[in-house]
Amino acid sequence: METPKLFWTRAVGSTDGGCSGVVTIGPHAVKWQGEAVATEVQEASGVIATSNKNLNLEESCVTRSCELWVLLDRPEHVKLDALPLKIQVSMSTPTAMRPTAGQLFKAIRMQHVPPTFLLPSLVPPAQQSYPFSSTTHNSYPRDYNRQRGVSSQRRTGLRQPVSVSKTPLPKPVLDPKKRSKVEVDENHGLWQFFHSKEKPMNTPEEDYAHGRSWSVEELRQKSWEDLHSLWWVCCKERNRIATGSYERNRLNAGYGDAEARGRDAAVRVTMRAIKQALTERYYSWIEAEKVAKSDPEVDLSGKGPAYTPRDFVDEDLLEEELPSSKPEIPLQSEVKPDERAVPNA
Amino acid sequence: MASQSIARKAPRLGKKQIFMPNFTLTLLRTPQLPPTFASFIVPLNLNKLDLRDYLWNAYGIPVRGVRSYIQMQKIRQDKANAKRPSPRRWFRPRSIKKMMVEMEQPFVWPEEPENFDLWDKSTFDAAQKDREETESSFRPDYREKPASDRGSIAEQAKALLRGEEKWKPSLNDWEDDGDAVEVEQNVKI
Repeated sequence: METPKLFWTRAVGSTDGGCSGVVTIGPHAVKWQGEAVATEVQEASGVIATSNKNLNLEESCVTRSCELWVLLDRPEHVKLDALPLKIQVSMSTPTAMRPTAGQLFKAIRMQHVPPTFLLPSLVPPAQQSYPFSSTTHNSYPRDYNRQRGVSSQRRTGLRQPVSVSKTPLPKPVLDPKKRSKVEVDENHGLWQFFHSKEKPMNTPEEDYAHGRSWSVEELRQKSWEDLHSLWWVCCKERNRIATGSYERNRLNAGYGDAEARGRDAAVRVTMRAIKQALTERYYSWIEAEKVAKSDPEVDLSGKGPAYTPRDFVDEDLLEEELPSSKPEIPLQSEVKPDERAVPNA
Repeated sequence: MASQSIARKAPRLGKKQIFMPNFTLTLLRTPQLPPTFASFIVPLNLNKLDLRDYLWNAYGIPVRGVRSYIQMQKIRQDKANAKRPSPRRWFRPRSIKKMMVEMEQPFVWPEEPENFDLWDKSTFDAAQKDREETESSFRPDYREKPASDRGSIAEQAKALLRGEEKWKPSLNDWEDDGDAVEVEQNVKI
């Protein structure tokens, strides 16, 4: 028995607003299988086959595209402009039917080699048919699982289109030059990590153009608030220098390392001078506390005034009595013997 | 959630007062991160809460979250600042701690300069190349390698056979100066 040559072709059509309909497959189709309509393979007897299938289209769907794989027995049928495949949508009220409801399927191209996913349908399955078979009927699905065959690993996609299906996915912009520019706030705090907003790091000339560091003699006159704020200025300057130096090394920009190190050293000398001044201040405070403990004019108990001068002498009187005056403030002479008596004072 | 996070002005800060911190932060250029992220090199003893409080108090940057990691460095022979690194004395440099910070406002670095003339890059590169060549001459296998300014012997021979070059004696070759002449003839021994 000579088997007829079969050709697969793809027919694509669409209905507009249909709920259910009938697909009429023309006389040349032997088998057909499609995404939208076909759930089983329709066997055709002989060359000429006509079959009517019920369409189950989604109600919410406005436009529904159908794709059918049609097996034809003769290649010349494929060359026809319109295959005798017809989709008719029948609704309960004929007035609601859209004019574009029934679109003819059109043959797009002919493929002599069927696609790989149709291979199982080409091979006739060796079916065992026994009258006493305990298996369920073939027309029933395996189970009533609606998600049967939907796999994220195999990227099958969903069975039904969802609301975001019409929106194309956003594509990443791989070229960084084509990306939109980010607007940076003028007063962003991270700007303080840079010497200027134009360049990521200083030039060697700019790094070299700095003054001397603060000396301890100058900082001794400053208050704690001044010294504290100067310390923070130094901290931020060191952060700037570190950021610029790292960026210069990363870019392999050239010279400037020695200048940045010199600038950093000047800042560190200032910080050291601040600590020196504060340490001196601390030790003088300790010494003053020791002296005040033995001073009768100073009251450290916290009750009443801390300082009560005893031998208060007016300046005018002092000038008049200068020639014959005794030492008015015998503080040091009184204190010193006591200090000498205490060991390690 | 969003409205709450916007209404929150400052993060909850630590209460320990540190008056004179003595360390540096290095801000890193991270084009691979979103613009609301910033990355820093921080000292190893700094933790996430410290960085959050530091950025808020010193720079006024509200921080949503901090991520940190410590990058161990590769071992190398002898210390980096050794003048003549002695081999087989293995040394691992100190690890580098980096912290990534998520901010509320985006920040983008200033662009990289295209022209490095202000940094005198050409001189810098030339000096570096010269330094590397000098260093390579002190390596133990320097004599075994052909000199860089000389083509291979086979290429020279081929060029000689093709007639492109003429043979000439090398500099070490004996030069005939004539007979030897006694320099000091009037010396009395």
